[in-house]
Amino acid sequence: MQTIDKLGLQSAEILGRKVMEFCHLLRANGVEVTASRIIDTFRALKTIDLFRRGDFYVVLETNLISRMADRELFYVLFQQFWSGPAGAMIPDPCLPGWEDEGSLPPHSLDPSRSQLESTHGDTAKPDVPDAPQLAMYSPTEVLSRKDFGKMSETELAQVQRLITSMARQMAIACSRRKKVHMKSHAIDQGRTIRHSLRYGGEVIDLKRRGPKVGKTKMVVLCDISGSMDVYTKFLLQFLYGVQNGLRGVETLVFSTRLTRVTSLLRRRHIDAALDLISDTVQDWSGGTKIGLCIREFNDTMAPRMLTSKTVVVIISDGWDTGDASILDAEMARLQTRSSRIVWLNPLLGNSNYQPLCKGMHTALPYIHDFMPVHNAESLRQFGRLVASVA
Amino acid sequence: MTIDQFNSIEAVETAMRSHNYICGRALATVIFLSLKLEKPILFEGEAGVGKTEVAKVLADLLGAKLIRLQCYEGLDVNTALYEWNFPRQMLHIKIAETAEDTRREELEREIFSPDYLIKRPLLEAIQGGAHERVVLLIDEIDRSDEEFEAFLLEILSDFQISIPEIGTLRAIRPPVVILTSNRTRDIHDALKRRCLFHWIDYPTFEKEYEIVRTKVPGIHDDLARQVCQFIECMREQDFFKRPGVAETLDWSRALLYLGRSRLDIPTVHETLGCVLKYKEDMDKADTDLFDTILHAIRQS
Repeated sequence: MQTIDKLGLQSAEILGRKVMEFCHLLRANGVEVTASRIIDTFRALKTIDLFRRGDFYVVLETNLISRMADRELFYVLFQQFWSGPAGAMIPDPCLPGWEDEGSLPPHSLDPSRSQLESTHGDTAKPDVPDAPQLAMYSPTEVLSRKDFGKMSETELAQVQRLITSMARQMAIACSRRKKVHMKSHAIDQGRTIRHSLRYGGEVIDLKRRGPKVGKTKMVVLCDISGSMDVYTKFLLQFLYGVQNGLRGVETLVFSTRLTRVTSLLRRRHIDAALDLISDTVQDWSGGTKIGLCIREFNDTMAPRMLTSKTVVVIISDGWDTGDASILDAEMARLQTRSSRIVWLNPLLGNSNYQPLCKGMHTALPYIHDFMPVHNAESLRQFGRLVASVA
Repeated sequence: MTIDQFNSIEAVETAMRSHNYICGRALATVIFLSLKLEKPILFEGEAGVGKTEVAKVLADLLGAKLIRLQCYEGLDVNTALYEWNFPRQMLHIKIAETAEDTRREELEREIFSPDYLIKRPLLEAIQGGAHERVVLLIDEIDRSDEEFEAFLLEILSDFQISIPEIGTLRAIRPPVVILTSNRTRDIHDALKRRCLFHWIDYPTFEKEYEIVRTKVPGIHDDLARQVCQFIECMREQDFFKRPGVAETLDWSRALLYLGRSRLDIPTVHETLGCVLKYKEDMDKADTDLFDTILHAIRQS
């Protein structure tokens, strides 16, 4: 067994430096590698046989990454960094020569993730610089401000990935805010005294009154008419992420008719979910009758789905070919039944936009939050809003 | 066995196998490191791939006590760590009152002593190490709230617990800690940093076959092979909840008890409840799908 202690001082130092370089490389590619992790990696390396490449791999992997999502990146970086022309990478013959190449752990990935990111294509290749560099420019920053309608194919693929991760973060944010409520609120005297009877009338536990922490309840109505075509794919992807990350979300799509797609979004693969939705929904890219669709919602599903705490999110550009008076009446009904109506309008991203079209104009008085939804950054803002009100 | 006896990865692998856990080299390496470095392991993976089982087997082969903390939404300090035994404290005060005992400070010291503490799993794990080895299993950490994660941090990094009235209790021998997550949400980075991370995947056909043969004694070779192949094909389908190893074992046992020697469409329909657990998935799995899969199995 070839352990570090048997390597000899010089070789051990070279290996140490190589491992450090590799850690920097991971860092440069966005993996969070902390000092304590590096220390543990070195402690771990002392206990194993360096000649077994598979073990060496597992030791680095288990110590340096902590996310399923980083596994693929780690695998690629490891392969590139620790193989290559043996002479160039590993200058000392004493260092791992690795005869058992085949013993690398089988590399497989969670298909739902890889599918979400499969469109990523060439851009997914991690950046392996010649010399490790620490500061890197973040293309996602620029990308998240760009309008969906103006993106190239590659950018579209990248932004899809961004949206998925945002949806997940949003789910976390929503569950995190619950604990704030648990903190101090007014003392509920009645309950405190009633509770104290259990202990012979002594007040031991103060019972507090505070908002009851409920599950996030959100109903999303998404317009999939022709005028929304450019944005629909992203919105559905976002809805897919939200739906699978949060409890208590119902999703419906509409153009001339209303279709509930909650169960359709409950698939492992985003593509499968999208295919199913386009098969099921008859009126994809058709005209819009917002008023009639909201009436249908109010009549059939609202009693079951809405409580006074529900947030209703309508995603639409407001181009309505139906009767404005219907929309007016139905928005009013919707408002009384829900806690908040959020309207996301992709056109709002344009600084010159005025909500002049008939539908938007009619609906505006009933809306609590009117927000843009044309790029990834705006989706993030929406996520923040939901986390604070839901 | 004691921890010192696990002086190589091979030793861990062999010991796990001898306790009927078919364990790959990567998993054995992680367990070996965890024992050597005294670091917790965070296992992630789909449901039913044997994450929890690792802890049980490990406790078994170390001769250690397994303390299990099942996480859920709303799990708090009182249920996970400790709670003061209020009724007993009250009783003690009443007795002191009746006896007209007026030494107030002493009374207070008495009722806030460890005797009046109800130990919950985490405190038990920290204190238990004095007499015997402890394996602490924190199951499905993703189901707890972030608040709970935060105080797990103190415990997992220093193996100590602070109780305001008593002080800090430190573990004499740190327990072997195993956390599992089904990835329904992301675990906080600070917690992850303190753990070795390992993703447990669905097993390969060969490995699963070996697992079935080991765990379901008496099953016919041919049936075991068919079951594993069938499950492997089912995992490729777009189900909301794909069958894990636990489902494979349940199904194999069911087929064994029913006295079936081979898979056919009526058998699959009768026992489908062992494999799929959602109505949506059941609806999707139709005779055509089974026919295709069974045909493919026969061809191979």
